[in-house]
Amino acid sequence: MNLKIEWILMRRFFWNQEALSTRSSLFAMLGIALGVSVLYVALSVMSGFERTLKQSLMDVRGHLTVVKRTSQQDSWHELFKKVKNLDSRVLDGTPFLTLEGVTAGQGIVQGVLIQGLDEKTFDDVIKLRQRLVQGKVDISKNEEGVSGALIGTDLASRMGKTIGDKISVVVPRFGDMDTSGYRRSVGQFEIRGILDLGKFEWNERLVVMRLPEAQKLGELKNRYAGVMLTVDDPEMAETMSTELLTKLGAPHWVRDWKSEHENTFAAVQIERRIIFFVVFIILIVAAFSLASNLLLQTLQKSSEISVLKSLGMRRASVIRLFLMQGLFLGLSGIALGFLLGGLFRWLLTIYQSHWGLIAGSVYKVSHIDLSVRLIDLFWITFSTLLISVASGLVPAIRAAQKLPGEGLKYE
Amino acid sequence: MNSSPLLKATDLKKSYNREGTQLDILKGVSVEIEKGESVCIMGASGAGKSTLLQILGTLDKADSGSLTFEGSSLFEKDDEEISKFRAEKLGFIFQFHHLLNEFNVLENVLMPFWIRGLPADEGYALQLLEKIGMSARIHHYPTQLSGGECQRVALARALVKKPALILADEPTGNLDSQNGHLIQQLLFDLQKETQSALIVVTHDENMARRFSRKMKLHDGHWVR
Repeated sequence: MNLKIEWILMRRFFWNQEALSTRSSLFAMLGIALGVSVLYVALSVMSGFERTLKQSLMDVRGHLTVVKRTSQQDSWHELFKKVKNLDSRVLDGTPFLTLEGVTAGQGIVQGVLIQGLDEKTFDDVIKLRQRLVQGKVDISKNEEGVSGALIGTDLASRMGKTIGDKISVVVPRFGDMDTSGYRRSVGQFEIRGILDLGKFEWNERLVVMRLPEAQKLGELKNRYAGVMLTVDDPEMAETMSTELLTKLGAPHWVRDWKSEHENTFAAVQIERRIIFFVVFIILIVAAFSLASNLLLQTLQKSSEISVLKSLGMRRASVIRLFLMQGLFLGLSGIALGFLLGGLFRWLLTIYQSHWGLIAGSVYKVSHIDLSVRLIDLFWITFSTLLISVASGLVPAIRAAQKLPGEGLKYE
Repeated sequence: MNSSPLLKATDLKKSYNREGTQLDILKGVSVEIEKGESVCIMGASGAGKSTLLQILGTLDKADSGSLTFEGSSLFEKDDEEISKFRAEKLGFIFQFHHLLNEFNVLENVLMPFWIRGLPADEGYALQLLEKIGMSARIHHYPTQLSGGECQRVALARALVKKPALILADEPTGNLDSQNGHLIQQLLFDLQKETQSALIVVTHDENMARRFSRKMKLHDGHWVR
């Protein structure tokens, strides 16, 4: 198919400085661009939310967690070896222990979530270094016998703590003689690092320390809660957890990074689709403007089209001319829309860093790393091009079907 | 040997419906045009001359009747065939020049080649433009030319592919007498050169005298 003549005619007819259609086409294109930019930003927020939560979960909890609920606990090395033998896709593992506790200071009492980690292996599994805002990722015991702790940003600001400060953590234990009463198990730690853990709850509550310190606080000797694992493909973690659970059997319990927030992820998927279709209505409105613009152009160029037909131009060629104009406006609108969308995204990031974008207590994450997925870009491009070409279809067919004599009659 | 006429129209009928009233424009018109022949169609305004010319040139459709070109029915051709026919066999000249304002003189003349994606015969186009006295203005746009000059360019555009049949609808109707005479002269000279058949609709009695055949249309019929 030789599109040379259609391309030449499109350029000369619709894109010359004197043509009224050039200006009206620019407005139609701007409508498309605005629709695309809104869609781009909306999907960036949705994808960013999902990505932020997902990254936070994987950075702090690894990809899989295996727990053996028994009083007769194997060493974590044995449990890890067993799991690795069952599934070669498992890469690394580290033991952990989670406890509920309390910290107090400056007249504030704050519930905390204590996470005890094996200082030799946790770096292979969870990515706390990537979450570091201040200080260093160091939970080791210093020469004075004080262990290090890492805390979330919100907890640090709430308790007025900074690097080098001490934090006391209290874990309530049942009384030895009377289970209706409590006694305290207290530990004091030096804050060595402040982390932005992504998830609001963790930023406000998490205290990371050495596994032996957590075991001591919980009076759990050498017990651990389970083993956190990394796998070669995190997206396969859900399937792997089901398979491992079947292979390991009771009393094992396996969870993947997604399962804790399964409903949230499912809701994001649904909301993403809904937002796409709602915002897409803006693009449909813009497409109507594009269609009316093209219709106007068919009327303005009616006699020229008739003359071209009298010279031998085919109907298909006339259709292609208007479809190409629709396609060109659509493509330009998409390109400009992505540029505008990128600009809005940047402004939104600045706004977020100064004033916050979402309430962490409501949306689980304290901020959103705005990001756009390739698949979203594909759908925005594809659907916009589709409606741009479709909006050119009616004017194109109308112009093509008109007999040449009709366009020349009233001159 | 093919003895069929170049163009043969039989019993052409055409009517329009205007505000609920049926207007019969052509009431069974037949005509035969031979190769190289020049025919003039005259008649009062509203007699159906332009409608007939447009139907003969496949720019409009008749309600009934038949139209053949070298024995082949034109009413049965699809869009691709009819577009090819117009491009290869016909040359149109309208009362208004209908040049494309976005293209310069040379580009307008070459447009019939471009539309069909054919290699443009630029040499012949320049030769024609020289004959009509426009060779110095080939890069000018229609808006920079006078009405007479535009009509001369339209004449070159109609003839650049050496069509078998030229159809002209009052080609001098919008021009002053001097320019009108010039266009007439050029039209006949070039028709002679290209050996094309020529059908012209005109009100101009002086012009009509130069045709080999003169026909008059009145109220949708031929009259003597």
